[in-house]
Amino acid sequence: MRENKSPLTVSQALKVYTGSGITITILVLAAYECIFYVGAYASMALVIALSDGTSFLEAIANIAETPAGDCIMAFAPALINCLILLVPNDRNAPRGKLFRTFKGGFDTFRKSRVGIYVSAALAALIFSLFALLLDITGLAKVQNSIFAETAVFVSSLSALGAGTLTLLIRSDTARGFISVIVCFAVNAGVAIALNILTTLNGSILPHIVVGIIGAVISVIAAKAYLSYYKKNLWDS
Amino acid sequence: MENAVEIKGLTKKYKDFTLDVSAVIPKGFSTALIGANGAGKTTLIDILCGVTAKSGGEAVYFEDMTDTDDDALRNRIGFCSAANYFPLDWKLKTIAECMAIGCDNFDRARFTELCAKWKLGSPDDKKQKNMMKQSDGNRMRAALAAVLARNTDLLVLDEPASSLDPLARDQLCDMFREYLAGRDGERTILFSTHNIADMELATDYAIFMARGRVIEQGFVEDLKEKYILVHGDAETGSKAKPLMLSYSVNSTAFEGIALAENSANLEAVGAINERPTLQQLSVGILRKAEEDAGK
Repeated sequence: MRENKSPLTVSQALKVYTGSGITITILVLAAYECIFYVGAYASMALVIALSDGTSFLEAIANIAETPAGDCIMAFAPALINCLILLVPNDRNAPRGKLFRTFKGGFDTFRKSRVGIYVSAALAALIFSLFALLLDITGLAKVQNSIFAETAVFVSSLSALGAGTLTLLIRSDTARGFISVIVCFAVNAGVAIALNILTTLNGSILPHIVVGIIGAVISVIAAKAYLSYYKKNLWDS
Repeated sequence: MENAVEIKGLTKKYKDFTLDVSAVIPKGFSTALIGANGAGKTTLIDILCGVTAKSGGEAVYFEDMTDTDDDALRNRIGFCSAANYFPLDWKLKTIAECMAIGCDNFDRARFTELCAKWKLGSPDDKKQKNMMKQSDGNRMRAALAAVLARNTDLLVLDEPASSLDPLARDQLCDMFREYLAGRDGERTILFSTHNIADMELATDYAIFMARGRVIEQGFVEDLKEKYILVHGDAETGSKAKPLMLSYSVNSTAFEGIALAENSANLEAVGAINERPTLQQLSVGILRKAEEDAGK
């Protein structure tokens, strides 16, 4: 059987698999991350204000003096990464059979996955810029400012790659459980580690190195997953 | 007679089940795939549509095409699975957009027309319900509208009638006729069904399956010549039974099918012979297969 090249673009492939093209997907994912962050940050500020008997604005100032805000920020893209990585794509899932009959076959599926990774990465970038905007305007200040927002973006790339590697686990239950742990652990863990390094030496270099490593891991993991998926699920 | 699909020793091996099928799907007709649950109908349909990989054998489509991963073949086959056809968050608009991108021969105007015919609404409506809020029957109607809106040569439908009400089943039979008449003699339908009585009018050719194998196939009219329905009172049953292929009896009467060549002998023992319906034929043939498997 020869390999069939899909005539669809990445955005079209994403559209037939998810119902939305790449622009809408990026905006929706970014919106979810922003809403989650604002909600979590505001809840924390409210709890601090109520427990300390201070005003809401004073509570925000307090958060900016601790790494708490930096950590909350890392959870938003982690949650979205989990959700998009764990969407089932096997034959018996809803739409599973239909998609296999679309033109391009597996190559269309491959392109849709590329679309998902690009969307997740760009959504994390938009979210980081949004968090930076809130930080600069003082609406949701964090301790390490632009370093923290950069840390969240690069840790998201790493989490995307590490999370994809967990998709190679065959058991559905184990995969679901481990994927969530890995996504949150890598996203938050890498971001916290980078924030500690920022506190120690104030350099952006570790962020750049982690960003490059994260991107490389994501590409390798995505290729490994697609190869595994084709052999064990598509061609079975 | 030309065949739309020629299935030559197509196999699929699972741990506890093996499909091994040789059959033909005649071009220009509607073929029903009939069998009990677990007979292998869905597996065969999935393999024919390139959804599941085969373990061995070959299916030849339209005389010279064999690669289900070839877009040229994909474009000629319209497929509708038994359930979970469209994601539940999709609306008619999303279905129309995605079908137009994913298939070369999707006609949006035809889809709109079919949606209106089945009272699903229009893909151009501003306010639309997503599939989650539709009934099972309407989900299936949306799936059928999407597949019938494609300009294909072979329509493969897995249990299309299962979630439809009797009126919709009747309309489905009309649509089958309309589809086949659309390009006189060039189009073919293959569908699986348990609703044999309702779909009899839409069935020209029947393939009976049991335990992963084809146990009988032929044009319905020929099969009705080959087999007869036999019935009578319970006392006559014991004399007729040795001449019959399938046999069921209660305290007052018996019924079953037999080969037409035995009709004179059956009449001689007092049994009544009749021309069977496809439903009666199916029950008889499948019952015989069950009995053979139990031996």
